[in-house]
Amino acid sequence: MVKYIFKRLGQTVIVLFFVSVIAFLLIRLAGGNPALLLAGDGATDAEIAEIERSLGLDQPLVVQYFKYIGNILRGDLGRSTSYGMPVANLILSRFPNTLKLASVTVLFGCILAIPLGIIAGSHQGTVIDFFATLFALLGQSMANMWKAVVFIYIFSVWLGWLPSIGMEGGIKSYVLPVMTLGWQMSAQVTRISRSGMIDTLHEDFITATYAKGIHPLVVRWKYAFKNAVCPVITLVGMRFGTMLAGTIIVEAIFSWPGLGQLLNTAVNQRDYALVQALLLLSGAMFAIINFAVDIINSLVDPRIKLR
Amino acid sequence: MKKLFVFMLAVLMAVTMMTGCGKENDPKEPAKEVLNIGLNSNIVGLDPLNGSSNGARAYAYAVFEPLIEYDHEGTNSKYTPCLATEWSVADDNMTWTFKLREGIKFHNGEPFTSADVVATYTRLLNEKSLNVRSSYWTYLDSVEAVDDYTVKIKTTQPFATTLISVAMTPIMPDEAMAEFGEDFWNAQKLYGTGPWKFVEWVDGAYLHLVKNDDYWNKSAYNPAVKDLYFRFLTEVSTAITSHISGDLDAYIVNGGISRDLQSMYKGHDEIELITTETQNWIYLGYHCAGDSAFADYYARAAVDYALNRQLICDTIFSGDAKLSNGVVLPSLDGYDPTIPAYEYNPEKAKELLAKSNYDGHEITIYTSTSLAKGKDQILEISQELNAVGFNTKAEAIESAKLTEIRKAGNYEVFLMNDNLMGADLSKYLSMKVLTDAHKHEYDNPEMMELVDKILTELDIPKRNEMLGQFVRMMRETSAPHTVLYYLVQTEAINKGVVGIEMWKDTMFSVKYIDYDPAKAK
Repeated sequence: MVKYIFKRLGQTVIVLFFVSVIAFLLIRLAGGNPALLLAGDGATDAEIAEIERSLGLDQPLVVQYFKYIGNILRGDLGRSTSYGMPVANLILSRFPNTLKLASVTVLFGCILAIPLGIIAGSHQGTVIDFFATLFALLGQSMANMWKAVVFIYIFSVWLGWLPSIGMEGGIKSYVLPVMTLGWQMSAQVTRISRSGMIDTLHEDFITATYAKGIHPLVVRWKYAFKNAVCPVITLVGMRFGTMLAGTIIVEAIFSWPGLGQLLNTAVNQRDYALVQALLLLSGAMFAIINFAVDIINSLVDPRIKLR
Repeated sequence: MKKLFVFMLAVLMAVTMMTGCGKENDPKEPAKEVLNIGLNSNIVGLDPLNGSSNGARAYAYAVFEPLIEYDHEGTNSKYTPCLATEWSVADDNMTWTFKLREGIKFHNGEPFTSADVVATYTRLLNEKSLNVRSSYWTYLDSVEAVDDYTVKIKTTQPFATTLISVAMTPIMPDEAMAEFGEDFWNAQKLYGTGPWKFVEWVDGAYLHLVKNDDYWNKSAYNPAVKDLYFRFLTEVSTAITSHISGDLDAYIVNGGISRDLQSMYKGHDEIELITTETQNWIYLGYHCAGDSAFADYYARAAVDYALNRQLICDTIFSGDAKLSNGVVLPSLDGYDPTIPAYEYNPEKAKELLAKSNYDGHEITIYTSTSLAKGKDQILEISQELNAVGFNTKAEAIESAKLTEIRKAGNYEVFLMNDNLMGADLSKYLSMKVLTDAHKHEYDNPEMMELVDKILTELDIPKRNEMLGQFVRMMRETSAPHTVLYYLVQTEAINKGVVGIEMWKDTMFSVKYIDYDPAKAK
């Protein structure tokens, strides 16, 4: 186990190195000069060159990259050119909001979707299965934008129960963004856990446990579930990672001050330091979550670490 | 399984605790002491001299005040005293003297004096990339305090719209700038002299202002509203849904709410759609040198006749765009109605194109993806130009990229807008024609001389006459821009919400906002 963990940790560091290179190159390949955007239309070439110098953009790419990595290793994420303040402050003010939204969404999504998928899978072809499949189909095929409009119409305009914007209404503020984001996620989780259950229930060892006279509920929830749950954990991890990188559309709709909106501004303004830090952060999030998912999966299914 | 259950319960409790620490005072009270103004663009900073969006400016002019105020009607504006009580210009037309109002205090109790004015203008002199500097103060020369309540502001040459520039410059406290530097805005320590005090800005969510109970001009403006929120809602259609649910009291969209989305307000009589004829105009900018097809006059003239401007106004904009006869719009001081309108005549366009040196190479029409309906417009324009013999394609690119290719002069034609800040042509003329920020490289000394005269002429009737000459010259040469149409902007404001000013230059003000229950019915 320890050997396995170290191996995975080593892989994570390599992944993060590549993420840092990609983050660095991607925004530079996108074209557009941050110095030009800072200086404004009326600036002279000399003024623009001066800003480029102050940002270090006049140096060769390799030098820029190693400076950037060196600063990151020293804990300095740089200074945002569009906001005019340290990148670390911006991320620290936004990340908790994204983390809260993503955690609540994943939590409620799993509480709803995993049992739904399991029940649907073990009662294939019944009414419950039909509704679970419909739920999954709608959740996956409707765009978040559209779902948000519908939810705001129902719960804010008609019923007047919930605020449609901001996050200062306490727990009430979470309902609509979580529903919008969570439906899509739980749709996928329902589908995967349903099909996982169906596959597992057709395996020989399940027939054997039935033959031994074990109660069907125990068969499903103890033996079958354990075997069907690995892909579900992987999926939930991926979705969690995606949400932690910020959810641009849902954040914009509900005026939720998370990372997604920050990234949007950063890219438009060609704010190199901010874009790099955000991409690296989301890469790191993914790497950490994947690492955690692998560990959990290897605990649930010991066969995994042998592969 | 039991362990898992306990874990989940723990997570649930942690989450509830996290969510429990939201604000206690819900800003959406039914009593209208709180107003929520939705904006469709985020602001990226609080520096009052560097606001680059209309929302950032609206906040700055509610918390900070300029020496004088004006109504954004260009040179036709009425100027009213604010922090200055009177002003005059010396015979050289370059030295302006302002008498300051005595007894005004900043929100923290510091007195307002000439030192604050000097500190503010000194920042403009030193930091050339500040938005207020680059937009309004190209010709700023010096500032000097004569005594505690008199300042002299000098320009490097006579500058026709100096008073507009003064009215667009909010005064910041010198003590704060000395003590905090950029932490004054970065660490949100802001205080000004205005009727609204700054509370906090949560980036991406809201900006909160409270009423200044000690406002110096309370006799003229003493609102019932106590809390004012700007809420940043960048998805227009969902924001409109929030507005009709009652979470907003107004929704102000950059460039206006488009016609197709206005219908969402149908049946909501408590909200009024306010329409403003703006001076936000759309134009084609040509690269007029080198290998560009539009270095040739006949090619540019052919475009003028090839375009069916009215069709685009009626279809793409559903009537929310109007035609003018040139760069000076009908509602602007200096408009000359005797200049003929643009004519749609494809046959004439073909004739003109035949006279040109255009070799049939493919021309890319660029626009920015951030321009509303930009892609639709260039697709239509490309089709109309191809119909008379051009070979064009349409390409919408990110604004950062457009800025770059424009700076390099690496284009033949692009479509963009100009919203004439201050509702006067000064900035346009100095930046986009005289100093050629977009590298049109149009070589016409006569035009440049005329522009120079317009910029320095303080006599308004004389200046207006020259503006007329400029429009004629632009029409005759079709360079460096050809004007297509100007936009009508529609915003949604609840009945009862008074004092939101929507100006012709697309800026807006909430400085004198209030709620009048009598008007809500």
